[in-house]
Amino acid sequence: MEKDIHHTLYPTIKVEKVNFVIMLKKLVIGAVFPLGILILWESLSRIGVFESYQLPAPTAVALKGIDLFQSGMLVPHIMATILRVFMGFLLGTSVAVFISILVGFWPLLEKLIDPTIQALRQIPSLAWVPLFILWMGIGESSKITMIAVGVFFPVYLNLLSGIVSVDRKWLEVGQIFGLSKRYQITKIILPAILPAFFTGIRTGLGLGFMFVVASELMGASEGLGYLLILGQNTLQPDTILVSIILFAVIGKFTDGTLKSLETKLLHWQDTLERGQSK
Amino acid sequence: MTLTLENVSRSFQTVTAIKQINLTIKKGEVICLLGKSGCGKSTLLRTLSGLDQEYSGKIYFEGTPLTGVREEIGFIFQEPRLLPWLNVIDNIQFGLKQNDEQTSQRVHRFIQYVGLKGKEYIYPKALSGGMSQRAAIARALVCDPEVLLLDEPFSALDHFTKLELQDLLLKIQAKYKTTMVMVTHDIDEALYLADRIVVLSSQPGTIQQIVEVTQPRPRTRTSDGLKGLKEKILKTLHVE
Ligand SMILES: Nc1ncnc2c1ncn2[C@@H]1O[C@H](COP(=O)(O)OP(=O)(O)OP(=O)(O)O)[C@@H](O)[C@H]1O
Ligand SMILES: [Mg+2]
Repeated sequence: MEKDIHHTLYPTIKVEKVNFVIMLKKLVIGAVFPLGILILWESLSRIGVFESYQLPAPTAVALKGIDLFQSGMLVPHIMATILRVFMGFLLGTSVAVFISILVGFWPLLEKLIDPTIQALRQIPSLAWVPLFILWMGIGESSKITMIAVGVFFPVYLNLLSGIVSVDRKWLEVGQIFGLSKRYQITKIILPAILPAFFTGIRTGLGLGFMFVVASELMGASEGLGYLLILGQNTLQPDTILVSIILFAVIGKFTDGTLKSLETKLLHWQDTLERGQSK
Repeated sequence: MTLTLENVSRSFQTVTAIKQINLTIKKGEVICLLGKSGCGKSTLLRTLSGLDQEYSGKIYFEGTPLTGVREEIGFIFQEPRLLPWLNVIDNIQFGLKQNDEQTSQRVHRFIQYVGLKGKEYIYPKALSGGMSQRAAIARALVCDPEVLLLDEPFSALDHFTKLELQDLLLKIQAKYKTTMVMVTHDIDEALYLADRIVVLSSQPGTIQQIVEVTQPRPRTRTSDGLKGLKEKILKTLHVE
């Protein structure tokens, strides 16, 4: 009991301090390995073990990046890719939210629609690419549609399982207090499915990036995926590596944003170190 | 408010949980349901609350048939069931419809009653079991129910907290004349709180005995009169 009171009186200060130290430690430990690799890579490149037309040194890649940036080419490519992911993500998420709500709340619709979606899910989403290109050409719409398809499934599946597994115990609390349908939804159901929703959109965003690469590889005149192809066709591995690194950075950043939003909104969750494993 | 049960039975697929229950609960009365684990106490309480309507027989609330959950009937579950995304104060005012100054004062008064002052903005994950149950009790009481149904509200608590909260219930009951139906398997608790103790038999649950406790409150937990009743109840429970 005493321990409990102590804990509730000073929770934030203590936790934050501890978190900071732990984070710093993790950062340092986590950096050792990639730094070692970089140094090894750089040295091996310098003494000529890797041929520069196959694997340029890290410094060469960095220089190429700066070069591309200064030429003014890089930012438009980055923006093009981000915009596509964003649009596809928005489209895929909206459709998934809409359908999973319909299916989750009306059992008849679940019986009607869910088996079809479960079957469609078995098709590797990339298999749709040729069809979309045939229908919509290689313009923006086919790319965004593809990304949306990739985003749709994880969001739909997670949200639906969240909706159908809202604990009856909480719904009964709402019932006992005579909550109106509207309050049942806003005060119980929505908060209860929020964790599943976040799991869905974070997975969805990851797939969105996978699909933007695929769609840009199929044919594009701008975007980071286009840079990959450009590097391949002009025999410039440094350009390819710049693009790959940018994908990593952007992906990490956007997921980090979602993750911090999640931590903020779901602070009430009683789980150990949220999202550590993801 | 009078609650009347006429031939109430409830069966699940394979078991008859309660069978042919006839009971009239008077306004302001404190009833304790006593019986072995699995004898149908929770089932009976759920039918009374309106949450479970798959029973046969009739239940009347003030003479009108009970057709579902009613605002006048409060329920305290066997476990706290606080909503994890709401802090203590939001959980406690969860069932309140108004949002004026008077209501807010009332909320704070009940927070004080259950001893959660200073804990208003803590989330359930940081509450101890006892604190959670106090919050759940305040959440039900603050709505000023005419009938309060309690399903083993104290069974997960330590002895001292339990005694304290029993006295709190009696205080509230004396003040608001709330009708209470409480499930328990603690004979001492039943003897301390109840006007009548309804002893249920197991499988199927039927009323085996109704014991009136006439001793006036406040009762002492160790009085000789209660001891006699305790032996009587123990005997009943052992016979089966
Ligand atoms: N939802 C259900 N589905 C099937 N059987 C049930 C259900 N709820 C209760 N039962 C059965 O009904 C009987 C009575 O259960 P109940 O929960 O009312 O017992 P109880 O007296 O409250 O026990 P305890 O003291 O352990 O809480 C048990 O045999 C139980 O298995
Ligand atoms: Mg029970």
